[in-house]
Amino acid sequence: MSRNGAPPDAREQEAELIRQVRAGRRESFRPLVERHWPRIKGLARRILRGPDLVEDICQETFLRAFEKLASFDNTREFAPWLAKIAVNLIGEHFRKGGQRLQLVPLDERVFPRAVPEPGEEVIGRMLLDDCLERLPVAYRIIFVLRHGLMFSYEEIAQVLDEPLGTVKVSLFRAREILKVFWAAVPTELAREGVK
Amino acid sequence: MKERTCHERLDFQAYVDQQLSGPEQTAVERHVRECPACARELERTRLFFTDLQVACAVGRGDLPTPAEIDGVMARLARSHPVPDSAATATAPWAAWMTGWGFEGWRAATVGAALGLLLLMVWAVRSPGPLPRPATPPAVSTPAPADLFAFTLSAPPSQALGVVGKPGAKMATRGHLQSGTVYQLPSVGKLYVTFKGENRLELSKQARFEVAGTRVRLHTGDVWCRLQRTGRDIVVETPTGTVTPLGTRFYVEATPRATRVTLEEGQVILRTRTTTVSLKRPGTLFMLTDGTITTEFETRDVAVQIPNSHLPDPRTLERPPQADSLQDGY
Repeated sequence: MSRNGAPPDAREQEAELIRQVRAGRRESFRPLVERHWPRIKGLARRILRGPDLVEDICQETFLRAFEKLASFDNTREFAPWLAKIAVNLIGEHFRKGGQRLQLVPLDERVFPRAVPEPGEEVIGRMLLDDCLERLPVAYRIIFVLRHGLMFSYEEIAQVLDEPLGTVKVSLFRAREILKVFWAAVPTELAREGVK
Repeated sequence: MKERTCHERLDFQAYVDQQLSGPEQTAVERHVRECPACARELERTRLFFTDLQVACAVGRGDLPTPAEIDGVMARLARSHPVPDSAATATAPWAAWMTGWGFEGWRAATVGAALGLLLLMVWAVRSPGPLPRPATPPAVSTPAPADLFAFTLSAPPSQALGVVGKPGAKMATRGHLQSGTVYQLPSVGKLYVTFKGENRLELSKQARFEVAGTRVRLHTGDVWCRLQRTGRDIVVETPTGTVTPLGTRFYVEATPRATRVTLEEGQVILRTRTTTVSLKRPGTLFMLTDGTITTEFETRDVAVQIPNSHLPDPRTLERPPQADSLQDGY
């Protein structure tokens, strides 16, 4: 219940559910899964390929969260804590394939010839999706955390275990590069009268 | 496309991303009022962020199915069965019995006898029926099948507002009440389900209400994907109504016009003077004077800047690429 007797808000509901799970009521974990599944799946499916793998990571995230719930600081936000578990699992998946999640410096070469030239049958948003797909994994995660899950910069830094400054600079630079490609196509298509 | 000629170094990304302090924000706003090049750049940055948000947004494909939730809970049940210690933990009453010298089966017998005695005393004194056991505090109310259930996807600081109740702060999940006008926060989307299988997505700070099966969209936009059970939904805007006939469509309401983009199926557009059936994928506009047209040049952009400052209209007019949300595989 809330402190002043008003209907409990979402965060207090969540804290109460977590307390109940810790006290042994496993079924109280169900509303937490229902509430956070879309965000975890939204993150996973933009990073991983294949619905089975995405589903596995989602399930594993919640299982691990359940196991580690005792270590969760109930005064903090649950969503970034959960996202960090998901990101760690995604990182483990890529490490198995010899890749590491790192915010490496980006430049325009991240989009080599694979990006279609303006004038081909491409419209702006498809190109943006395409560009996001080509970003290194850590950048894709950062974009989804910021623009999809609406995490603050501080929360993203916490999820990725990176300094706040690195997160800000990386996101700024990546956006600038993406924006160049995003801005170019629609205008060119409009000039050519492409519908 | 480097059009900017102004040499002022302003961080439009930080401005749109709400990372600037008050004075810095004011400085940007003051400058773009005077500088057409920077006003265009700011508008482009804003559109870019909107597109980024759509490209990265949690989509309807991310909503869980009951089977997925059950799958997690089943795995939990297998990997973490209720420990025996929880079932056999020493309860306070057991400790009390032990203190009186009753242990094992004796304790159980005495406990049962005491319980029976208390029940009989209560039954004699109370004429009413047996009380129901106290239910634990409900965290989520069960969803009646005919209600609009919603989930808000927004930063923790943002909440679904109720127009006329400035302090009211809705939970991130729940059910929409008929007759209440809701306002989406500046950032975020509202995912609404109707009868379980019909999906609506509201965004662009939509202001709306539901009444029966009608969705009254005052401003903002709504994307609808309806099944057979959702055909009784009608979307009303200030300029007209949209009646679906089993379909996938998008409605954007602005003060001057309503844009309806049909992706699949059929919709009927009705204004006070005209009725049009849109049977093929395409876009129509319902205008305030009652006409329905294929051409409309919007000036309702997020920042009110002189028309000469606006970027190419096609950039603003680009219809939503809703399919970009559909699959990320």
